[in-house]
Amino acid sequence: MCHDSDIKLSVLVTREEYCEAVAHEKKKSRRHIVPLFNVISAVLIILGFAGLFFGENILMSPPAALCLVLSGLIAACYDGVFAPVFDKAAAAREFNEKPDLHYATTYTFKDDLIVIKNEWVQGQILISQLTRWSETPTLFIMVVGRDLSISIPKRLLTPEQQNKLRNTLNSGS
Amino acid sequence: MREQLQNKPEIFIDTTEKEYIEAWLLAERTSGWLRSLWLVVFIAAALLFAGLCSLDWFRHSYSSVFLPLLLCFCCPALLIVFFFIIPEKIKTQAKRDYLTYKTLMANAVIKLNADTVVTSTESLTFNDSYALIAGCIETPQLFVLIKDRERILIIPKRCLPAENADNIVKFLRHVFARKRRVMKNWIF
Repeated sequence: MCHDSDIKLSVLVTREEYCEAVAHEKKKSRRHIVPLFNVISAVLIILGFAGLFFGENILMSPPAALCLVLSGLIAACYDGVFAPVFDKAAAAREFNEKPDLHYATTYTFKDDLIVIKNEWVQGQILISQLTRWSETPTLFIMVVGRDLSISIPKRLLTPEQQNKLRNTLNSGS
Repeated sequence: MREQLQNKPEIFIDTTEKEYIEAWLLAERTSGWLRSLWLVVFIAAALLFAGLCSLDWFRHSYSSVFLPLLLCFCCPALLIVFFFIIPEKIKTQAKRDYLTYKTLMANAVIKLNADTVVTSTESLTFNDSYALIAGCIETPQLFVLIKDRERILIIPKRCLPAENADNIVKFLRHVFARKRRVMKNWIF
């Protein structure tokens, strides 16, 4: 039975949406180690410059000093430049490996449960069964352990529906 | 398919935590972090050999002892990481995931059709085509069907109905003839 207040969607996540969302999630999970990277890069760059200008006094050759500066720059750029590229590449591989992402799925969000229907899985799960949910600029991601993952593109939802879904997920989990 | 099961028996699955953890170790050994276990053993042995060879035995010159010692140290370090630290991490993650798995797969029944395996739980029905299953690992206790990096289907052999166990084992071996890997445990 589908009520007016239920959100019913037919979803097919694109590769770009998936990659962007995964990269965003990983960046969020790296947040606590970014300061450490910054400190390491600062130390390396300072040591490198010390080696360049006072190399003779501290027994450091110019090539070694340059290597330190370069390592510092790489560490400084890791989170902003290199990691997103690696994460997106890994996400693209993951997208190819997960056949269920290639099926169109119908989701119906009711007050306390989600009804799922595609070629792969059919049935319903309670919102309280979600082990994790998160929001990226393009997707709502809901996860039940390792066995089930639901991705809802925001482009399919009106702002009111987005708020309603957010509230449902907040109250349910 | 010639080897079809005539009466498609239902297999009631009741996976224990130990089996779940073992299954994830096997899955990681086949397609995850532990995939290159023997390569790591080879590299560790090569590092130890290189370290021992470059130690200046009998010449009593200690000036270049640091690098050989570092190479020798890398050998046990690599082995500890790949044989203890990573497996322990996988076990911890599996222990955590087992709680959700148990809830989600409560009273699960598996039905082996000609082309698909259907897993019915209290609230969900999963329909997996054999063609899309990446691999099958057989151990003396388990069949582990690897759907993808995050999902596996565990069929403990003790759950197979006694009257049909041989036929089911034969059927699974036939279906996954090219994707089957026989293992004794997660290492061998």
